[in-house]
Amino acid sequence: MNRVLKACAVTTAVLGAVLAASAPPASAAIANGKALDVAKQAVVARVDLRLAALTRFGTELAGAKQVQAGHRSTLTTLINDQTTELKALRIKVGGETTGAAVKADAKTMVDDFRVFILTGPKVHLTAAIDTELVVVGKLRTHKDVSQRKLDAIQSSLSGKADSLLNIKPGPDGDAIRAQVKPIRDAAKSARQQLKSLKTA
Amino acid sequence: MRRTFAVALAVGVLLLGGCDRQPAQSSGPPAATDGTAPTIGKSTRAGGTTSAGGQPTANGADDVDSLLSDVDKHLNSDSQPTKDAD
Repeated sequence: MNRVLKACAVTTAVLGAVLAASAPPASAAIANGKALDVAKQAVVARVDLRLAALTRFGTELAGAKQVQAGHRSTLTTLINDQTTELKALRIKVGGETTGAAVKADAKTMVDDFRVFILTGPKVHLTAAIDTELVVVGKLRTHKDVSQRKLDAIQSSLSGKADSLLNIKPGPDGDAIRAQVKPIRDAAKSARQQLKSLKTA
Repeated sequence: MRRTFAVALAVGVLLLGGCDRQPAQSSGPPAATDGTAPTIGKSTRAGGTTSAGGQPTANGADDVDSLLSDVDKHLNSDSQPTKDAD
């Protein structure tokens, strides 16, 4: 009888140990949940930075009076569309239940939008280039300004804003930066040349 | 009784004084409610081509210095550090 009781006790203890080992500890489950919340909050914060930037770009675009109508329309649509889509992504992130899904959303947030390395430059450089073209037009009436130099500046800017606006976001950030750089350089160079013509 | 009447009189004076105040912000611009990005209406500003030979139409009142200053502002905005890695 004692042997039977002892065997039952040992079996129960072993069974209990096996069940306890197979179930995840309560503390680990809580830790996993907290880690997921932290990850979600971090991505949401980054989405919010992009939404704030888009708001700022919209304000700057509204204040850039020399932007050509077609460019303004393209930029307005771009800003509005990205704002809508990022807001939807923000909601999606909040509903994710796995770290992998949050990580995928973070990648989408960067690759599909490129708010900082592409949308921002599109707004600022288009405004700069369109304004510079207006300056070229105004300097045409100045008799002491070289028309040949104005032709060169205009030629250096021609089509640059359209090319910039045609650049698409994507996973290769370096490639996007490489496409934007010559347009940025052209805008800066034109600015310097126009300044030197004005003060000559 | 007398004290009750005095309190009622004081309250009445306060209320009457408040009624004379002008309504606040009757014609102020509407404030943003939740900080969301505003939807921007499409501008129909006249003029503007991208051809090499054409000149965009501009407001005659803007002088060259002012326009170059605007260019500086746009280029400066472009050169600002980004808020996040992209």
